[in-house]
Amino acid sequence: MKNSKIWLIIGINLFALFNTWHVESCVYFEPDWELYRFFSPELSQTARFRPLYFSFSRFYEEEDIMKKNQNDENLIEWQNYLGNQVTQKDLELLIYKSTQQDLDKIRNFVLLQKPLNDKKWAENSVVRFWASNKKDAEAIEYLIFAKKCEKYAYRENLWEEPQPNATAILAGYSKEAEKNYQLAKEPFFKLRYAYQAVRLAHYAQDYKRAILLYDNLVEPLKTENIVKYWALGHKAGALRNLGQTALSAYLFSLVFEKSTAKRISAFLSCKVFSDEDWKKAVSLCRNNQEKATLFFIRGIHPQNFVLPEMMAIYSFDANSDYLDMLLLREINKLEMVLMPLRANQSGFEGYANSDQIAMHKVYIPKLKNFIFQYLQTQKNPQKQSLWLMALGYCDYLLEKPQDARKSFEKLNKNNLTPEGKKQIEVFETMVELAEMTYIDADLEEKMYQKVVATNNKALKGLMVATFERLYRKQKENAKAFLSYNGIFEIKTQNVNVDELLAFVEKPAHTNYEKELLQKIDAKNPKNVLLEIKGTIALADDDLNEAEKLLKQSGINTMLKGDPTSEEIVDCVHCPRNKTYTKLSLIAQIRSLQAQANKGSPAQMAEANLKLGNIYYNTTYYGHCWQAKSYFRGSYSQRNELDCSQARSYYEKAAELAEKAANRELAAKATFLAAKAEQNQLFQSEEFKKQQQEFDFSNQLKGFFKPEYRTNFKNLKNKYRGTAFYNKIIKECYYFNRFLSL
Amino acid sequence: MNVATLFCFCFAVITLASCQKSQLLTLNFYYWKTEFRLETQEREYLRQLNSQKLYLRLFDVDFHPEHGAVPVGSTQIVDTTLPVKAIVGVVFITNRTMLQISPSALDDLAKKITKKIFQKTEKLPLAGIQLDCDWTEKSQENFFKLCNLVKQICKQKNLEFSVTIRLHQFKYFSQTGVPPADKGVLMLYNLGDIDGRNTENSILEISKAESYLKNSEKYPLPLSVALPLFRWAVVQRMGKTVHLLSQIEKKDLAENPKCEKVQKNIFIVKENHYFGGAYLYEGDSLRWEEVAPETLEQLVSITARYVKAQEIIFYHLDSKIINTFGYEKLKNLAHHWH
Repeated sequence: MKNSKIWLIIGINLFALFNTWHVESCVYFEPDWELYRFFSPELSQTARFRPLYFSFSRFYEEEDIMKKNQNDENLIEWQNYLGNQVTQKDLELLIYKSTQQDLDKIRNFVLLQKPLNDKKWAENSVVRFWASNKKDAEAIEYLIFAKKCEKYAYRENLWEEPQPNATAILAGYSKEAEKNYQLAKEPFFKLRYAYQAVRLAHYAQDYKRAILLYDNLVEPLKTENIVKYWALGHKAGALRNLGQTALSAYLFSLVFEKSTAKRISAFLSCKVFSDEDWKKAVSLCRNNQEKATLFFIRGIHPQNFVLPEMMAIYSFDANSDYLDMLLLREINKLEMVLMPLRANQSGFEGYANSDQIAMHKVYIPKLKNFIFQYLQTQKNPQKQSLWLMALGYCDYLLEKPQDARKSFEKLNKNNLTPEGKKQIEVFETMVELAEMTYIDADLEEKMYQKVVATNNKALKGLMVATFERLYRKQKENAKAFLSYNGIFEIKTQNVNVDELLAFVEKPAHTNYEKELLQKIDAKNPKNVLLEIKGTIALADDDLNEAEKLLKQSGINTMLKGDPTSEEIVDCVHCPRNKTYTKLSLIAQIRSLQAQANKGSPAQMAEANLKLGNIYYNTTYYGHCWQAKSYFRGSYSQRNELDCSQARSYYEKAAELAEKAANRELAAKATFLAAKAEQNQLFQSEEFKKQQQEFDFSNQLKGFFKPEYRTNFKNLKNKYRGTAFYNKIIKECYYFNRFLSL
Repeated sequence: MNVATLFCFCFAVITLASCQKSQLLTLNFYYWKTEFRLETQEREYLRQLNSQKLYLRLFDVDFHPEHGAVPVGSTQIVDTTLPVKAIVGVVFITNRTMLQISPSALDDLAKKITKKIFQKTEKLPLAGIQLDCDWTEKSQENFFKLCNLVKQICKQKNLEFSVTIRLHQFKYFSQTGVPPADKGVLMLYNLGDIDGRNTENSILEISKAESYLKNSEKYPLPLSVALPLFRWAVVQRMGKTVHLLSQIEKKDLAENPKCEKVQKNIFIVKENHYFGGAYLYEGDSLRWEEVAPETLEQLVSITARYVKAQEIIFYHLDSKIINTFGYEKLKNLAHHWH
């Protein structure tokens, strides 16, 4: 908790922030796809509301940046008080990082001239300033007091329960602060003691007293210092606890407007629950600016509609900066719903369903009407540009790029800020992309260069989506495929590798094409494709083609395990030594195939068994699955689940072993054939359906369907009494179960 | 399901749905408010139903970007004289906490959670701890580790450790796994898609509940069942759920002049206004959702066929909502297991 101690002194009620954070967080969500944000909130001229720009997270800015803002507000006050004679770093160290003991030592050093014996503090510019220029007892005593309250006012460890007597201690400190207020000479400390008194009474849950203290101590100071608004936040909190919602909301809105440090907590705390309270809160506003603030706070709640709040603010102050902020937020919300569909491949669901998209499209013209109204009265060129861009973008979102272009053309680009210039470049490129009906190398290169120059990730995504759509339309399948896919999809989907090879072998490539090639392999995409093609041929049992392509590729991957060995219990993930390459495996298959057809029945049986093992182990179910596929699992589109060839070799092996009077080998081969046969059951449509429906009531029946248990039956009927049989009934649950049926 | 895992020729256990009958079924409640202060009527319900335990939510655990797992929404304990013999401290943990927390921080989290529970229940007869988390495949490992750690601490203190089980976790336990706990509480609510265009009642759809319950293998933990007594209005704006109004009655909605009834349980907002604590905009749609006593009985009758329950826990004890369900009606639900 690196900055945890700051909260006492700057007066942020962190705990309240945490409480509300949880409540608020449910309106946000954590999507696993990216926010396609084309309209930059940074266009806003009101950076003071930066944390409130639209975001998937709770706030646009990270919390530590917000904390820094809060620190800064306090440090600025102290800097001013100290006449800018000290460094901010030293001030920060003294206020936020010192301990009670450090402050005691500093007091003794500055006020009583006792030795400090601490290099860190001796070199601190604040301590030096006090020692040499002004022996500021009041400042040091205030810091010591604040530090003393810290462990009761702020729980550093959120897991700890409050101390049983904390309320009483806080109430006592509040009274002490009130006393110190009376004794304080400097207005700076008078205000701070007043603030501490209010705050500590609030934490002590003595709400009436907190309000009274604010009215009696802070208000008479007639100051506009920011600390007044920190104290006002506590009065507002106390009022809320006493059920005075309207006044509380109004006061929180004042704190929201005035204090950077308290803005977020004031926003989270400013709550109204009834029309009556809302009307009352609005009636408390002393001017239109205050009214606008209340409507703005309602408008920035993520689930609220912005347009009605914008219209109200416009009626109070047509030039309000709040309007820019709300406009940007609203556009960002709209693009969150509407843009993912365009910036992603077809079938992408994004954030919204079709009904929601339709509703948003009905809403946009209403927003546009307000933008028109605004533009008619707005004379500020910066604001005009922002709203005109928003108008154009609304048309873009409505899939009317020509109308969007008209709005963008009305902009006086000379008046734009650098951020505005970047923005219009993005919008114009988006319109160009939307208007593209065909694509060739020149157009592709032109758009590519334009998009890359903007360094805008969302725009790049949109460009790729556009290219993909056009290449698909023009039947340039390799480029269309690679626009969205890469090596993973090539290895796991039924891709036309020849088309990809033809693309790779083109004599020259554009910059976009070079990016696509990188998606296959950064160094040698052609060899990688040849290896993939060779592996597909191996999976298809086309040994000659596989051998040719694998040799051409120059890639000879080592395989784990010995595919010629059988296993009673499959262990796909057991550690194995590397034995074969794909090429040496092909050679082994050829050699075994030769042995399987000549020699004694015993030799032929052994060769068939080994071939069965190879064809079993190189399927999904075997440990050597990497011979024929790249990813084991549901991604697979090829035939690596098929155990029919393995079964055929095993059954042949059993037959030959029987002829060779080797009943043990025949039993083993029959069992292995049963394994392969069972995998065929798992691949049957009927079984899959049963799995999908989780229909366990028929599990046993479905599991032991006779047509998939011919080898179990053979094993039971023909090989009872063999050593292998006796072993297997102990090790194989399913066979054991089969016997009991 | 991974087909290969089914295959392995090793010992696996196939068990089929069990329909054993229970002997003694107790009727207990969850208490889910942020201040624990029992009202007279709430005490009366506990007495009338001869409740033995109160499942008291003590705090939630959420994940904070900087501070990691933090307790939020702590319940303030005001009442310490109870009409029940025991309480079970319930902690709701967000799934994102389990997704984001590092496995090495789980030991510390288990200690923090239990320490906080012990501190908060110092003056209460604590008999058990329950963790409530809508864990998913990705968070399962962390959650199960946490359960193991909390369970160990509970064992040392002679406390029962339980977890909540969602229906999909119940149905597909062979895929999702079974949390290491002494007991599970099967939650028979929040079944529907709250955002769904055709959803009539996201709290409970009997047919959906039954599809999860039937043909399930016997769950490997002793189970209690949690039944919904709550109701709410689901507020949808531009097709998305934006508020759940739980502090209003259907009557309030029906009598609200700024809302127009368009279907049996659907209302449309005609004018912007505050209602039930939320600000509603013209065009918002409100869907009233509740579980009628007879629907609850139907649910129990179906559940009893498939689940051998130890107790019924009603969600939740609140004088504003329990009125709809008379003592006898609630008591009678237990008979389905006899």
